[in-house]
Amino acid sequence: MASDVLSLKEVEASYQRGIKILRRISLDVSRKDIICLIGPNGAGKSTVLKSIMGLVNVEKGSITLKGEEIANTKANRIMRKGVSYVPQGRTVFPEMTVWENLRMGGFILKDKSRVEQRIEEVYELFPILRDYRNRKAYTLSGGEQQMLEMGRILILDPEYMLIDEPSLGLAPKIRKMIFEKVRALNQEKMIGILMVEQNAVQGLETADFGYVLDMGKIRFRGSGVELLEDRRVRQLYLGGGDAKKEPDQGIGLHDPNSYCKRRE
Amino acid sequence: MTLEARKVVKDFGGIRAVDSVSLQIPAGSITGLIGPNGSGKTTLFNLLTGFLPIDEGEIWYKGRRIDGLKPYQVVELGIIRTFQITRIFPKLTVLENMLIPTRENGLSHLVSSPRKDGRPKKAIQLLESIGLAAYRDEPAASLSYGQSKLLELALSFMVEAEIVLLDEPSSGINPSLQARINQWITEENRQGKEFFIIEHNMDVIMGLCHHIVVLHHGQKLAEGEPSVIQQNDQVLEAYLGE
Repeated sequence: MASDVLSLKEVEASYQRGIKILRRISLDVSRKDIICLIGPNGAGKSTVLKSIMGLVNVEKGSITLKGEEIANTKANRIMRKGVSYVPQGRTVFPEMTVWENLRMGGFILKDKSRVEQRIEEVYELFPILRDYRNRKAYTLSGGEQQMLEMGRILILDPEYMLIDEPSLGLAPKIRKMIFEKVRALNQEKMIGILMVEQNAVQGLETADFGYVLDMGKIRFRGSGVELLEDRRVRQLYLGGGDAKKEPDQGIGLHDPNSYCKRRE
Repeated sequence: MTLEARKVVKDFGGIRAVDSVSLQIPAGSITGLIGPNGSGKTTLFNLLTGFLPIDEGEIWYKGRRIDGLKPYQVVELGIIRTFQITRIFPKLTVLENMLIPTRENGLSHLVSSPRKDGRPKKAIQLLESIGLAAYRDEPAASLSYGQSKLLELALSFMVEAEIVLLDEPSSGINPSLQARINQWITEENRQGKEFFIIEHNMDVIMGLCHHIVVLHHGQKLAEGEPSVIQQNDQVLEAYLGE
């Protein structure tokens, strides 16, 4: 296996009370990739990201970073190894300024002069953050807060970035811009991206490769274009309009209640 | 005319979040509220439902002035809302959450004897249709973000509401459920319920709404039928980015 890869093999994970969330999940992310996970609510997409970050217990399988086993390692140590995580929803420190939020991104770095230098790099990528550097984060709009969150984890100069729904709650114009920034991070900074998206069409358009999760399993995989063009994927997961004309071929996934509970 | 804002103003410190906005929800309609992030949409919802006091202006509902009422008093009038960031009870089960919302004042209905009013049955039907029935006895905390958005949407359908304000009902929701949710809204609307919906998903807005209001920098930028709004240059520039 190529060394410069974040790799999940047959990963199984659960929260408390034995509800198994992930079943034999295998996927690879290289630093050249933008990978997008889509799927129904409760399918386990966010849990994939959390399992990499050590935020949920991995019971079976392995997660390796450049060949080194990292499953069930604490999040702060994972971050030091070059994997950063932007959780779902707005997670900026609301009462801190933009600049202070960016400084917090370097909390685990000892060399603070590097933090200042990286903040400058973040300002170059997101010029609006420089303009607003002295404003408290809660006064920023949703799109600006999303940029601040992405900027904040860039302070650690990650090689891999896990992003949970970057476009959540964003207006169409800003949504487009955020996906462009994701692409820029991948192409200009060589950051491998693993993102979860419910704006599935735009997510897949941005991605090189996509996976459809359902009931904790990978049901479909393919290039973004392949998944967007796949009739079953469109029908079952993208809200495709042809669902009525062509009933699905008995995979039984169209009834949301059939994929809820996974008690082992 | 049902719900109406007259020259409503709200300031946060030095920032005017809502700037002399007047609007009326046409009777029997599904009305959309769109605009860039930070344009004042959620703040306007908070003002209409008593979660924030207005600084200037008036809010009317069916010929009665309602600004100054507390949120629970607004609910008693039949005005229900959901939140962008969900507000469910994490330690109660999914089904228990469903049985809490009511238009009646007080909590007595929560401790009364076994119910014979069909609410549990309705709750289970709603949970089934959004794929949460299997979670009915799980604590709501075990739901993912998207699932708790779905739960909150379902909660708003448990109340005998006259008008429902939905704050981004489709954000974080898988597109495959959207058609079903649109169907609920359309059916309830046919039975006389009005809707006022904040949404960034243009397919949802253009497909559902009879009337659309656009906010920008706290002011009303445009208002009209979906086909008119879609062709408004200012809206395209400020919001859609085409």
